[in-house]
Amino acid sequence: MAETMDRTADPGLRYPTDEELLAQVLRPYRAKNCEYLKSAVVGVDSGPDGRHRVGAACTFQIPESCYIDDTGHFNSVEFNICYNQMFYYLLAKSVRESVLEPFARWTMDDFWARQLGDILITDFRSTFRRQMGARLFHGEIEMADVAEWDGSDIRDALVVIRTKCRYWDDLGGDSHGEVTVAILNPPQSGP
Amino acid sequence: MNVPADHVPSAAGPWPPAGAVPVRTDDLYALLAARGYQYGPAFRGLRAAWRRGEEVFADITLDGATGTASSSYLLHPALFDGALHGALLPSEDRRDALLLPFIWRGVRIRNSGARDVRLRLAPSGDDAVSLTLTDTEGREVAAVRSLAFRPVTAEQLDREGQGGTLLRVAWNTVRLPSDDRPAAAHWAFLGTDHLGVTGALKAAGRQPGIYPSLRDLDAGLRDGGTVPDVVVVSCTDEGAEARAATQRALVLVQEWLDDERLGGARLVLVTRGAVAARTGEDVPDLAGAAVWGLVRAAQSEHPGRFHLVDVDDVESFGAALVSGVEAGEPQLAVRDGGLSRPRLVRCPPGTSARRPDTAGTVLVTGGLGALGALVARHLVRRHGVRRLVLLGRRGPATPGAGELAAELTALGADVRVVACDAADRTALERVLASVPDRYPLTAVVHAAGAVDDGTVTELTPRKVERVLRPKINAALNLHELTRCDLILFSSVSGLVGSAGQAAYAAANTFLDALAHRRRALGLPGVSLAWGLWADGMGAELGTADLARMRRNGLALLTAAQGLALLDAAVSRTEPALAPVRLDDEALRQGAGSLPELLRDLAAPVSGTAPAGRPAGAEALRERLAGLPVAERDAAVLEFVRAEVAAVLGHQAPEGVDPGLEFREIGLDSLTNLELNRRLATATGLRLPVTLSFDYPSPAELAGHLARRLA
Repeated sequence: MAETMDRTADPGLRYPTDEELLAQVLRPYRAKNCEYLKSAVVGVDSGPDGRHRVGAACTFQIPESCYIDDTGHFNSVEFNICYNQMFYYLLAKSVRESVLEPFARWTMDDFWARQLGDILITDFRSTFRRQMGARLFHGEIEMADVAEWDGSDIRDALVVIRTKCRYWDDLGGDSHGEVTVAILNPPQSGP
Repeated sequence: MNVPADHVPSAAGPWPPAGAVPVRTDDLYALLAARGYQYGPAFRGLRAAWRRGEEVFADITLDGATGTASSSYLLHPALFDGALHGALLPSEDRRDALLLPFIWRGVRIRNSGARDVRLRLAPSGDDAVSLTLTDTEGREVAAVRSLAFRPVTAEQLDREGQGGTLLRVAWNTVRLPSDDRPAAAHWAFLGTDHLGVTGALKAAGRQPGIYPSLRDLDAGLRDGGTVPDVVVVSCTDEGAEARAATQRALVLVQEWLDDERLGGARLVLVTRGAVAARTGEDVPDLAGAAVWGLVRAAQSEHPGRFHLVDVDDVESFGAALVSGVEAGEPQLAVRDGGLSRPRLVRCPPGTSARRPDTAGTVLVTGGLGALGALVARHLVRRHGVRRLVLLGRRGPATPGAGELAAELTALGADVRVVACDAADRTALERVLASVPDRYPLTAVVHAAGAVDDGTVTELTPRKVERVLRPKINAALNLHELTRCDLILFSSVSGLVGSAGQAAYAAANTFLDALAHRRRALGLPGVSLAWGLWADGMGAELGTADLARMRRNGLALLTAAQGLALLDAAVSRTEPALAPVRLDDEALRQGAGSLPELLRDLAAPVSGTAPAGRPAGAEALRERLAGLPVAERDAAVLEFVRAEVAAVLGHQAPEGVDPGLEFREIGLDSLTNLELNRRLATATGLRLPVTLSFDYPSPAELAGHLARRLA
């Protein structure tokens, strides 16, 4: 049985912020006035196990919270909203640039069709080390593991992505988290 | 005659020295072989010899092929070894003794690159000699002031390989008391019913709830449906490959451990033809066999949650299945309505009914790994194999490959090192086609493998594939492409279900099943479910791993033990064997903590535990109840520290800092799981798997347990 070659990008590659894609990804947030993600450089690096790691280095601005009066600090709800925006963008860019299997096999239409309904957080852990202002800060996300589960009689196909993320600002604020995301109804992979 | 300690005999003068009398050497190696010294062609370097009183003189020469490599050695081992043969020349008094070099003193070697040397050997005290090697010009190559020999017997040499045990799986009849009580347990069936299980359950008086998928089960539980006590799923599907079957079983196992609503439900995975429960039985469901390995590991990690039942096609299997599962048996086979369970038993003494044909070419996959190299050396040295093909994914680029090939060549073998992934069928076909017709393939040793350990909840399809591919795909290719003796290196982890090795266990039970399959098809082969070799993966084990292995009743195999077991195993006729080293101390402790398959090897334990809660839990509660309240918390903390120390393989609980987090103490996901299990057994409490996350230090955990035990 021949081994299929992974169609993935080379380590060391950097993809600067794709403004058009970013705007499209954040469209669901527009009316709610919470487009927090301002830039995202997607990068491919070599992980300790020799496998490619895909991540994004991001900047955020939250001029005004979309759900609460000014608390003066970055809170867990914003952590979550920022995470979603980073993840959606990282996934969309991974599809567009074919940087990582299985997303290299997806089309952009596959992504848009699943962005809201089929991408679910199944496990979310966040830790706030040092309080951080929310106005302008940095964030990063990395896909630590991507597991493709085939469908069978007992369960439909599923892609499970374990990610790590972190936020910090220039004044020492720091928080991080580990989030697991499931993608339901992934596009059928070819034979 | 004694030679002064700092003196080595002079090399000057004519050759052979005046007064030296020629000694016959043409039958030397035949005579030595009869005494127990087996020298290959490259090591038969002594060409001529002379005696003068008690002195010996000899010419030693490297043969052509070996000699080309001599420049890379200070002194070629075959040349040096050949010089020692001068001490083994037949003499009246020690003709039959087997002497081994024992104490070396004053060894001096010069970098000469010599291919031909002259030996002068003189007695140097009792049972000792001095040696001088010169080149043909008389320049010193090496000198040994004193070399003492000791006689050994052949039995002593063989003893080095003793201590291993050859086991095989026996399926012992399970007799359960007939039970006419009405069924109390709620049964359910999940997924596609490939085997007619629902009909069999109904025939046995159970009315299973039917859930076509996990989604339906979830919906049923959300609607307030009764949580079933037992959920049965069929795992034999003729169309399914091993990787699909193991992935599906893994989904089920993870779902079972993840969904708290199912915390009290047991999952029964039913196969047909996935185990050889009777002698000579074919194992057509290789994919199902892999599921057995995976689930055995899951059973070790989470006792009491999973059952394996292999059924035949006799419709009456339902009653036996129901009674076996309700009696709590974790692994069962149903044949003609009767129940049996697998147990490892000692093999009866062998009759050397079979002898692998080593006259042709022998191919070793993983032949450049630690284990493969040991086996390759052994094949050449012990079995006189002269043509070897060693496969490795990186071939000659593998570190140590060149040295291994040179060593085997020096021993007289024709060695080819080939970069080939045996899981790649086309590549393997090319290698097999290159084996010369004059020396056809007579045996294959499949020693390739990979591990990627992790608890069953951490496994992903990719991790499983990484382990399955080099073992399973390669074994299938070898099975389909060869008709010669196929010796599959499997692991006992598939039989005992080593915690943290579910994927590895799956790969190995597949190999065991393939050997049964091959033999049922009339082709030669055997699967050897090895215990851990100290030189193989055993070399990478940490203290906690070794402690866990010991508790499982197993010890590390030395190379000598492993190779002795290999010889014993390949001469037998069983399709699958388990060559292991048992830990006698663990077996003496009784069956309590042993894996299911090793339980019958344990010493019987006197006395009986009270019904209901386990004996350990009673003892702990009684001990705590007998203490003044003020001392109980400290006692619980001591108990927790002792359990942590035991899991980590530490000798004393004092080494466990009660204030540190478990992670800092050195617990990983596997040892955490084990701690959880031990605490649950000892306290009789039902403890969540998140226990050590919720109470992340011994002190916090002890506080929690003390409150619950109060």
